[in-house]
Amino acid sequence: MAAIGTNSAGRSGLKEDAKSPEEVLECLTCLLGVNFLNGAAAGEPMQKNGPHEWSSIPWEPSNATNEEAEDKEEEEEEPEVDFSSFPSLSLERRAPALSMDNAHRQGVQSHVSSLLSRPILVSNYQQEAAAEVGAEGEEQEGQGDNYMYGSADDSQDEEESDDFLATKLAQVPEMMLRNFFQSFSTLMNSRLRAYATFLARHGLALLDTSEFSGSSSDDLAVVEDGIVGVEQKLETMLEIGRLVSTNAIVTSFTAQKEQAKRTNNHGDEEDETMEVSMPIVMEAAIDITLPSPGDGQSGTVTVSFRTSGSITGKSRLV
Amino acid sequence: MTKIYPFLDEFLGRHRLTLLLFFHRLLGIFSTADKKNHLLRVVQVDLNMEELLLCMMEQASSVISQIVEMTNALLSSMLPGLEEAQGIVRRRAMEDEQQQDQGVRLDVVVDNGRKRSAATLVEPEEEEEPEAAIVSPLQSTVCFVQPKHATFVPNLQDLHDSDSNHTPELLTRESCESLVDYVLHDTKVNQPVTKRPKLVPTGESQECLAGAVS
Repeated sequence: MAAIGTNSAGRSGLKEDAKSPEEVLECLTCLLGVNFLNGAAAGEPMQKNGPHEWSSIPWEPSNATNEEAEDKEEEEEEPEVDFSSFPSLSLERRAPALSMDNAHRQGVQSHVSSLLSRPILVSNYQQEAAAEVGAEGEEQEGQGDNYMYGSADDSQDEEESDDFLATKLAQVPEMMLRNFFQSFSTLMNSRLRAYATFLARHGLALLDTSEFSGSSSDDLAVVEDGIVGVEQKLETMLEIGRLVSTNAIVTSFTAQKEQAKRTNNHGDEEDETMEVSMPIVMEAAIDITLPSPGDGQSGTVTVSFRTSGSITGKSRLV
Repeated sequence: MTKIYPFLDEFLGRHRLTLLLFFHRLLGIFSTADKKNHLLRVVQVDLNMEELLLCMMEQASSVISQIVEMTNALLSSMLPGLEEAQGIVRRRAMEDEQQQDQGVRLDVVVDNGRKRSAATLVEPEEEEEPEAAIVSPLQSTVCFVQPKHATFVPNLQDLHDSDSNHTPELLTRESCESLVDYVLHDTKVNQPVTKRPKLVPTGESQECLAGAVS
């Protein structure tokens, strides 16, 4: 798909590049995907999928030449507080864990799904304010995009402190990517922990056997060697798990524009609000390197994920 | 003897992504071109989380399975005699079963006027060192060799040789019952002794007897 427009053209001249709401939503859906390469140099931004750039989206009314419209916007005393909601894909839990046992596996699954569904909220008002500051900062050459938040380190600390708030829409893809990877790491860790627990219990069972009063010395020797074997297996497995690394993560969002639906909420001719929604497909892939401590070689395993969803946009007359 | 290691709460901690922020000038309100000029704002993005969660769990399990397989392969390479030793264990188990089925006969011993039985191996084979049982838990991934089986397998040779001082604690109830069943049904030791038939005089014999008397 061709770029929707070029923001570098300034506030004027965007009218001919403006697209339909469906096309804008489709482009935005594509921009939600991002990939991360572990070998990227420090300071290098993550790469976006496809030819789209956030700056290519017309970010202001296409009637930019209409100064009256701009004045009208500026006269608004209290900006409309709206939020854009995106799934956080985060399993991070700050509240105490629910006490659920295996008998309520379905409940656990629903609970975890609800954790993943927690939204990343982007305030429309914050976006506007950030864009205004960004516009001013753009005039200051040399400071570039870091004008708003200071150094990159500060912004990183701010990002680590909260995974559910974004001040700009452009932050959302990276937050989703980071949360998704951490959630998958959590699931892998829990699986490894479960297996390690299984091994440890087996070792304890052997230990109990060795303490059996009627066992002969030969039997005890067999059991003790079995315990050592379990211990070696546990050590080796955890060592391999410790050396697991990730080389690349890719998320991709694809909109199905042909199935887009427009809904006029109010049916009022004066109310020009309209909702546009279309199904989307999210795909993700993670390259995982599994080391082999024995021969020093390592193999890469690619795990892929796929799920469906929808994106909804709200359109209003300028 | 056994060290219980702390689990790797953060085994992927060092791989925490160093994500760098980069900033785009973005309003979040996008212009659209319709018959009228509209502004578009993204309201919501929804995903099927249950579908995604199942996919993540499945992939996480597959990765852990590969880690376990690598662990087993690594331990096999570290202990080159492992496969051979396990083969010995399996062969011994099969031999023990065969001995239980075929190689036992019952000897009836009269001791101070009281009968008692003892099991005897017909062709006792050389006992092999049980070192293979040591490493059996290493290879198994899900089902481990039960320690009860490895430790308390009945030894028929002990039963025979140590008739006076064998340790019945090492015998399981099942093994004793199978042994008794075999002895009772297959060796026919309890078949009753055939009694001499009682002589009944017939007419011919009566005549012979009368002639002899006369």
